[in-house]
Amino acid sequence: MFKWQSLDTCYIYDGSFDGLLTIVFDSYLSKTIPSRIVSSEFEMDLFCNYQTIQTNEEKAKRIYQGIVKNISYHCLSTAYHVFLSNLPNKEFDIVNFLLLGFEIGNKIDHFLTNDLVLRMEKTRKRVFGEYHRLCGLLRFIKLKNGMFYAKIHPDNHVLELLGHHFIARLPNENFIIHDPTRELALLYNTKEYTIIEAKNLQVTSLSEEEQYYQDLWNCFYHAIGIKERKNAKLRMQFMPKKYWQDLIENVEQNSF
Amino acid sequence: MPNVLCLHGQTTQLMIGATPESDLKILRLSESLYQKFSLKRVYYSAYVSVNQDSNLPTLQAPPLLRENRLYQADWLLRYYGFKAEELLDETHPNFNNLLDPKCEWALRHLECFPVDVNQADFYTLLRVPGIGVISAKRIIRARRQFRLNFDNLKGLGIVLKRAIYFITCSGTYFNHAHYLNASFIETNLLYQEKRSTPILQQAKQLSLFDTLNPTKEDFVKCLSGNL
Repeated sequence: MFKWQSLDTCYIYDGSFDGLLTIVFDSYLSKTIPSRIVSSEFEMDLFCNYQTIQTNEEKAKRIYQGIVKNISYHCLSTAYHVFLSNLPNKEFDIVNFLLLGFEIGNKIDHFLTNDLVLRMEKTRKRVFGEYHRLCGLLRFIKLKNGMFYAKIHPDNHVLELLGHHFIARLPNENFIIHDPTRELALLYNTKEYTIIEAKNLQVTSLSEEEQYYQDLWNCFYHAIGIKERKNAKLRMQFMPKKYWQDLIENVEQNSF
Repeated sequence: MPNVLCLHGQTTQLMIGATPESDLKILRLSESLYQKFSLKRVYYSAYVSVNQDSNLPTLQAPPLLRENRLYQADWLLRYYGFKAEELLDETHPNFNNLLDPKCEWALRHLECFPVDVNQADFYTLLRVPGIGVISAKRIIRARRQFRLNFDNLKGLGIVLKRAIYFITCSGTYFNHAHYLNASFIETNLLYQEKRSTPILQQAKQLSLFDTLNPTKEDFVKCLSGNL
């Protein structure tokens, strides 16, 4: 693609954004591009050399600052959002995108006629859109110990983005946001947050008033709609069916 | 001197369909509210009859489409640099059911088109049907680096359904054809609209034997085998 030499090697990284930036650092220094980049769980290919890349925080930090300084903040945000997406082969695309960015500078934000840049831009929009929707469609349930619990099934890995949003909204509450498809959960204890693996996270006991508030919310949801103005198609645009499973209000009952 | 009433962004709401005003009158009212009172928003609500009384207007259904057309025109006033007089006049006091206000305006002002996407400024691009604020910004962003063609526009996510009749890319029309004929464009646009919306009339499967009306003797003939 560029003046850099393509290698016959497949890089293995630890699945973190820092790991990916380390690959960018190494590629930039050696002027070589790997044939594939995979995270730790992958299918072995017979005719390929594998090389494990150790994540190096120092290198990652330099690339991180280098992107903001030499390319643009928008480019960094795009790379990070695409990293969270479910785009196949996203790692390879991100590395190519950032290397192209280092070559041409902040002009890359306008390179919308380039297939790679356009794909990145579209994916960024998709991830950001899902995060934005889930900010409104996430529903917390109060547990017996006073904690709040929410379950989501997003297409992209937007858990951490959502975490930042809700930490700013509810700084004085303890809450869990659970993503069963990725078996991850974000925990927040009014001071700091962590993301842990959650294989069998089951909610056992709700608080006493929870059912009462759910009924109230359901009642509100059905009372607020104006029968004469129902518009199923428009509602589906704002609130796609794939998110209905995690809602508290009974949307199906209101359908027509 | 700013209006003291409206320091924090006042809004207002207009009921649509309960009284016989034309769209032109409503649009003029909201335009003057935006200009003279610097209102933040004017909302339009289709009239829904809640109570039944001989003094109240009765409507079959709330005029939701008319409300939508007014909102489209409202956006044209606030973000697209249009004036109420441009969109409607005394000969056309109401909006069309089938075409949106910008499309209608463009068909009546074909002398302003075609617009070249590689040269036109932001406000000229905004006047093309199908190109909105986001699309126009994106075009301007992308054309700083490359000359755009129709494939690029599609890639950028610009909806070409309506726009193809009104734009050129570096002087060439879509499919190298000259489309600028109002009735031709209108027919094409309406045909596309119709295809995307479900047909409302009840369609009926035609039968081969509907018109025959067999008599009793025909049945007997069929059964006995001498036709």
